[in-house]
Amino acid sequence: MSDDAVLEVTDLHVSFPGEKGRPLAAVRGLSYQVRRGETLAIVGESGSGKSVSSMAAIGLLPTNAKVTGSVRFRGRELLGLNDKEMSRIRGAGIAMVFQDPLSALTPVYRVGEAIAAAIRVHREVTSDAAMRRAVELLELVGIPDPARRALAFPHEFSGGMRQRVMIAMAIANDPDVIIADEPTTALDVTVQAQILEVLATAKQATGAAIVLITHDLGVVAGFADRAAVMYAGRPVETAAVEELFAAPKMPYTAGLLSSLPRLDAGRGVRLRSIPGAPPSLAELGAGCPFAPRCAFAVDLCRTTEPELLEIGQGRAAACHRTGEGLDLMAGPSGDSGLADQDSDTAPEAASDAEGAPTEPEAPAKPEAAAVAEPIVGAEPVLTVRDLIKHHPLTKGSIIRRRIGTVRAVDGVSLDIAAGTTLALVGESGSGKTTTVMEILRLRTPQGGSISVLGQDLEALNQGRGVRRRAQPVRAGIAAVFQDPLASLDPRLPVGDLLAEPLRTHGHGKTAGRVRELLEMVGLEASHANRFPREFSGGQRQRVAIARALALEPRLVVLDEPVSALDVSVRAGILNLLADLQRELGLAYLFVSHDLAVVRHVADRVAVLNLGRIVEYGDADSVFEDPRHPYTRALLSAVPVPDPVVERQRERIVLPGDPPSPVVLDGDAEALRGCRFRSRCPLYAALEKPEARELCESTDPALTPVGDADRSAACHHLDAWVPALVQSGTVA
Amino acid sequence: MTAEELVLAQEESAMTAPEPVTLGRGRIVLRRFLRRKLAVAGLVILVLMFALAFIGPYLSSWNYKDQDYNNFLTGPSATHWFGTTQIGSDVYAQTMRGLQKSLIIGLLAAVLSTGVAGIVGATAGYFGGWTDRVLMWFVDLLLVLPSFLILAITSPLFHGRTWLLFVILLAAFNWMVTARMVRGLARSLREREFVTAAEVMGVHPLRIITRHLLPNMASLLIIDATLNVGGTIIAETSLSYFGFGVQPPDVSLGTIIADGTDSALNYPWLFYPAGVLLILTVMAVAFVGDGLRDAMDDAAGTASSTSTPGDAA
Amino acid sequence: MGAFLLRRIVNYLVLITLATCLGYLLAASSLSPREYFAQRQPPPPVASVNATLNQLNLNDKTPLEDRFAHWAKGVVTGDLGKTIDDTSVSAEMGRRMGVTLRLVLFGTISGALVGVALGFISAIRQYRPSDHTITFLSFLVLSTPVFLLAVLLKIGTVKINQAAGTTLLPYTGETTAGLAGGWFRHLVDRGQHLVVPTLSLMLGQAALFSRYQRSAMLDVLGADYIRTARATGMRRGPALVKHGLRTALIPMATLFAYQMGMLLTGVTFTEKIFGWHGMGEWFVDSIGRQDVNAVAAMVLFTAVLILIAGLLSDIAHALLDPRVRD
Repeated sequence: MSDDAVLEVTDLHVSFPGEKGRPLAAVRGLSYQVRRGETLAIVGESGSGKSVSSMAAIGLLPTNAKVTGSVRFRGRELLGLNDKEMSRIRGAGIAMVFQDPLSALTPVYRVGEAIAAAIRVHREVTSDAAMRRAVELLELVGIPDPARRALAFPHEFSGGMRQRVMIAMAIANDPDVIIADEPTTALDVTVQAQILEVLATAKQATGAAIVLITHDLGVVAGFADRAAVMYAGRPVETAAVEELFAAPKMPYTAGLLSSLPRLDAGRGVRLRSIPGAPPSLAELGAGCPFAPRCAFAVDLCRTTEPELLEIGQGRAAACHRTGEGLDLMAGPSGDSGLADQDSDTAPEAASDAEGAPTEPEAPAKPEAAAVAEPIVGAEPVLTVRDLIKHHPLTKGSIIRRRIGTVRAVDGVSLDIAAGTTLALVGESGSGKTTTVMEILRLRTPQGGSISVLGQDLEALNQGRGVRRRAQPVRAGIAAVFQDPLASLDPRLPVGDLLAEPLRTHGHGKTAGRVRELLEMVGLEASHANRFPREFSGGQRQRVAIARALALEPRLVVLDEPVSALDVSVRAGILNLLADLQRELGLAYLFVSHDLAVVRHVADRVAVLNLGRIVEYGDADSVFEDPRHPYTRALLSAVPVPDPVVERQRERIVLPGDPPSPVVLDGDAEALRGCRFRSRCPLYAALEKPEARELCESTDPALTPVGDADRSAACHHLDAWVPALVQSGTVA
Repeated sequence: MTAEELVLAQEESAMTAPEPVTLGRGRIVLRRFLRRKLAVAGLVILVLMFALAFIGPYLSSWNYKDQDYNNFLTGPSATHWFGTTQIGSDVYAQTMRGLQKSLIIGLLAAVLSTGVAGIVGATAGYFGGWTDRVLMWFVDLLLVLPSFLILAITSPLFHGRTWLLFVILLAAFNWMVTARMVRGLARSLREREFVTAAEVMGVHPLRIITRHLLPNMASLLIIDATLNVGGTIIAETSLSYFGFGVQPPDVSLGTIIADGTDSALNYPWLFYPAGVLLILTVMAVAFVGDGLRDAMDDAAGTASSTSTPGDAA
Repeated sequence: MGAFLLRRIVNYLVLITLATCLGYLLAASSLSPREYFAQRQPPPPVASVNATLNQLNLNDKTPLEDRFAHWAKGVVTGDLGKTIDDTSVSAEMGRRMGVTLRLVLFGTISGALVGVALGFISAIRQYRPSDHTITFLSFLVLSTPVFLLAVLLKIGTVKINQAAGTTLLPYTGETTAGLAGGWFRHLVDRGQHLVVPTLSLMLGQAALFSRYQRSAMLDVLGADYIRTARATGMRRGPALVKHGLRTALIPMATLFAYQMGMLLTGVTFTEKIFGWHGMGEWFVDSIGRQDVNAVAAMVLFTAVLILIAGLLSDIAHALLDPRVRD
């Protein structure tokens, strides 16, 4: 098997000097091979060692890293080569595509220059020839007008375009292996679909093997042939992708798979969650690192770390109980076991050594014990009508001049009934966050009206004592933001953080309420003395949720509440939110770019594009029968974590970048007609000139469609064009 | 520097230290500070300097105003440890007095100017808009003139008055650069989600500044105040060198060095003690400040916009 | 770019005007020219002092706003007034400006170059002996006020000359008085005189720049784009220079503007100590002579230089960083 492997990693170990002289083992025994034309995915959460291992393979770790084992490239051992020898292999033999392409490209060089420089590192060609080749490469990766764009600087590109440039750079010297480190993580879902296509094109053009490092199982399902799952620096399972998804053999893999929100699941289905959080490398004990979170752990697991053992053709798993034929996906004996436990109150500091899973049964959740059904359709807690928020766009950091208008929110209308969840979905730049901030800041809207808990904001902001009069409204609406580390002041202990809203609103005694809040979200009262830094990501988000609940609000705005969290702790947070909603009768405004998550939580959905709602209605109905071409494209771009489905389904790949809400001064054309049409697959497929003319001349209004309570903004809702755009059409 | 995993791992290793929480950060800073030899050396020297400045005068029987009519321009001896001047003053007594003056002036002016900078900068940065524009324009105006120039011009005003006036003037023309820095930091902190969270909760703006902004800038302000001590000592001695600062009969390290300059070649004791003490003091302050910055930046994980290097990893 | 420069320049002109006015007003209210005359031996009669003061527009009995208006009117027409010894301020300034500019120019350029180089070396050899040495030395220099540094350099030069037995490095004045010989001989002589004073300015600059360059470079060393460059097969050295140093130079452009004030302060000491008859020496002497108009001229000179440095640094910034262009 290893004869035709281009890259063969055997028993790779990487460690760094740690705090107290104890080395930190980042990678502990990774082995894999890839052949030409094959794609291997290395899957893992933060701290799993997946990125470190690839940097070790190409010798770009800092000098204090200790690397042992073997990395063979086409039979040649790479570990121990000096910088000169290694440099000949980097780029030419093994190329890299990094995450976050803005920081990965030198800001002061034109992208054409950068690619040309990469070529000239390995080949003696004139700079003209290299530049010509750079333009060809840019064309290959789907940059429109490549000759001109080659002269642009990285900051003048969008995220997706920059990632294309990175890929062009990676394939410039025809490498045998391309290591792609989270290549689509920072990108919108429609752009992610494009980039994966470009990667596939690059693979075709070079015939290279691809090592894809990712945390996203959906991407793995659609793109990789084989996968290695890493946990705490070790591979815990390797398998062909179909087998891995069909029958995971390691409880961690199984847990990950069953905790994933999926588009093809129904609304309100309870996710299985993995308790706890990924361990920190500094505190690994002797046992299986997953044991504290594992529903199947037995005593042996806590004392001895299992080896990665071959259990079939190309399959291996590291679990003591592999041979027992457990049904990992079902969960152990019924479903009241640990696997369904929502608490991710990791035993981090408290009980890491023993790894004893002595977690308290988290929020007392009356699973079936019927709490009264939310009073759906009662008085609305939020009403937004034709909300507009424009701001001037200025250019230049030294001289600032106005060059256009950002039409961030351009006529949004929403209603949320008490006790229900409305999801606001859209790509970056669609106006989600602006809409939310307009609501949260309680100011008079620039255009349109907002009414929070029956209080019209324009009326609220008139007259004297606005700040004082606004306080009761503020108490009724709370917010949870994306990144709990950013939204919790790092200098305050959790107790003070939770007491802040109480004090602001004049509650004298806070200690009791703080304790109550902590327990409500599944944390312990003793956590009040700790600082946000001392919690894991999931726990921090629980603190943020507790703070939001402090004043017993009726509406909670959730702005991407799980996007910044590790995959394995997302389910716990989503379940907690569902429980709280049921117990406290909360209404949620749930903002997310992740449609799979939205599928789980939303009663109603509003799809936002360019500051406008293009489709609005009951969630089941929208997800099962999307009508607007944009909604259809968005849904189609979400990878399904199931290789069989994922490989067969037809995809709509939207061309171009997510649209920018900017309208340049004097550009009247931009405001004419339907603003989605530049990317609209339906418009592109329309045959009748009158039909096209309608899109070009008239801005479609939100009109009711089909059954009650649904609307969409498209002229051709009935003109059904089946296969919109075949996958593979790039830009 | 390396992959995110590594950073994460190291962060966590730092945070799971089993120390009582409230002391955690302070301890970490202290531990990291103590690991830097130069910073510790600086601290030791600084403490010694203060001890010398305030205890030193009592060790010798000479007062800095005394004149020994039997000894003019004599070299170091048992009676006059650092020798005497042209008019028979005891150089040791004078140097101690000068050190004391320079240290006090430096310390007071630095704390004062950092305070002003913190208030002005945070106000301008948090409120933005016209408040910001007016304040920063004023800062720009003051930055067009080196403070040395302004202080030199205004020096006749405090001739014959208390040296505290001099301290106030030193601080008054020394806060601008820090204020700009603080403002930049406040602006970026204002965009942080925890400030937004407080705003939508209805927390009062002044409370946001005092409870969220300033504490998150504490490390910057402490470091700045420390480094400012060195800066103001240099400013004070420089002005005094030309006679624009501390006025006779009082002495500062600057005036002593000025008096000794011309005869430095032939009567080195007039010049070197003050010169060496001055350099040592300022350098010790700089090392302490630098060590503090490194220690706080490493331990912070918070604001600190100062673009200083952390550890290699 | 053109419009931007124009706006900048207009803003700068306003700042210069205000700064100079501020300088004049401060000087006029804190200095007392009357004392300068009154101290003469024998004391001149009050009437004649008043007459002289009036003639020089320095009479403290005239309301400040009137004196200011008179001075401002002159400045607008290019007349900076009279010195206290009744010579033309403009003429004196013309003589002295070049001397100061020469020091400033050589001091900045050499200091910045040396500093950037040292900072680069220091950063890429972080925590090695060379880094420690450079760090220590730059701290040492930065902790030494210019007056002390200049005096120490002077002493050092004397020692060197004594050891060499000849005046290897002259340290007073700009030229050797009464030197015979051709233009080349004069050029060499001027060059020799320039060495030590320039050094007194340059060392501080170099130390400052090296600290900032080191820290900018360290920030950049961990940057993703260096990793990218290395991943394309570029070796460490070239990647550090082409991608690291090139980017780390950007913040130095800002520093260039900020250090000008420090440099102009330093030049005062250098000129005084090495006996150069430039603006700095004049300024210090003028304060001693209670010479309001000359002091105001120095304020004007400083403000203009600092803002030119600001303008240059903006331009350099735009040239170095494509993100701030357009």
